[in-house]
Amino acid sequence: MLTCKKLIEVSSHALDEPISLRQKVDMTIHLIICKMCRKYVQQIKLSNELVSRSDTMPNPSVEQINTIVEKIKQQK
Amino acid sequence: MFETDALLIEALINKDEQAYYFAVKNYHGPMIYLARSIAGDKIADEVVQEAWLSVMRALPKFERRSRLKTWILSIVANEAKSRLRKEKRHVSLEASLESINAEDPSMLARFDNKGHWSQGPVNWTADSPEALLAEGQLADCLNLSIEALPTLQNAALNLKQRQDFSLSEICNILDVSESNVRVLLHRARNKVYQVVEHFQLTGECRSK
Repeated sequence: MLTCKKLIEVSSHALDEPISLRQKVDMTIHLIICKMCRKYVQQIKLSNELVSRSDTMPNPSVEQINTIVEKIKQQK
Repeated sequence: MFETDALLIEALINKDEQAYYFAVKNYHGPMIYLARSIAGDKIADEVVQEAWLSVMRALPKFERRSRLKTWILSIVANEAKSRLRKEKRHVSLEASLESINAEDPSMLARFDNKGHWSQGPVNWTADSPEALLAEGQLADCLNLSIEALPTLQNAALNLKQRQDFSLSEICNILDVSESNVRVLLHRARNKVYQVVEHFQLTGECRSK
């Protein structure tokens, strides 16, 4: 039987990779009976989605690209 | 133009200038992103420039057991860590790794000693990312709080959530074990979660 504390760990793993059947079953049972964990799982998925959407990936400028390419070409 | 890694690698080894431009255009952004996570903004540019030179030197020996992007980023991570060691700033990185095995203090207080919630999740006013982001400064708050995460948590979260690397690729890039990556992600997510929760409750940003 999962505790709530353990469930939040397992639910994070489940976001990244398939979890074992046992863990899936334990998680499902726990979530049926635990309203707070249901709320947490819904919210952690939401906040995770927010991270993906608030992307601040830098894009190199044309000058930066040119500078790097020049340096690469100069390397023996 | 270079639809596969194999095509790009071959062109780069043959010193094809188009390939240089293609590679830099596509990979420089993620490289800077990672270098900033590990070594900070000030030296990220230098770290990545050195990494590019290392990439080109090592490319003929690349065994292609991973994607090119993964391999390039692992070189960046190594270069960043070397710089930290040179500047004797590696201590915080090691501390970051050591603390992985300790309990996560930020969520610990929310559970009782039986592992049940003592301070459970509160209701949020919105139930979709769009609705949450519509609430003004949340996006800025999120970015600040992600930047304020400990080095490895920041790096792992960005690699997973924003660049969609697999766990094993993140292991390769950061040179940590897969179970450590899971813990890093779990902690980073919980920190972000608490920032969003705090913002929901108070309208204020608690980014640290």
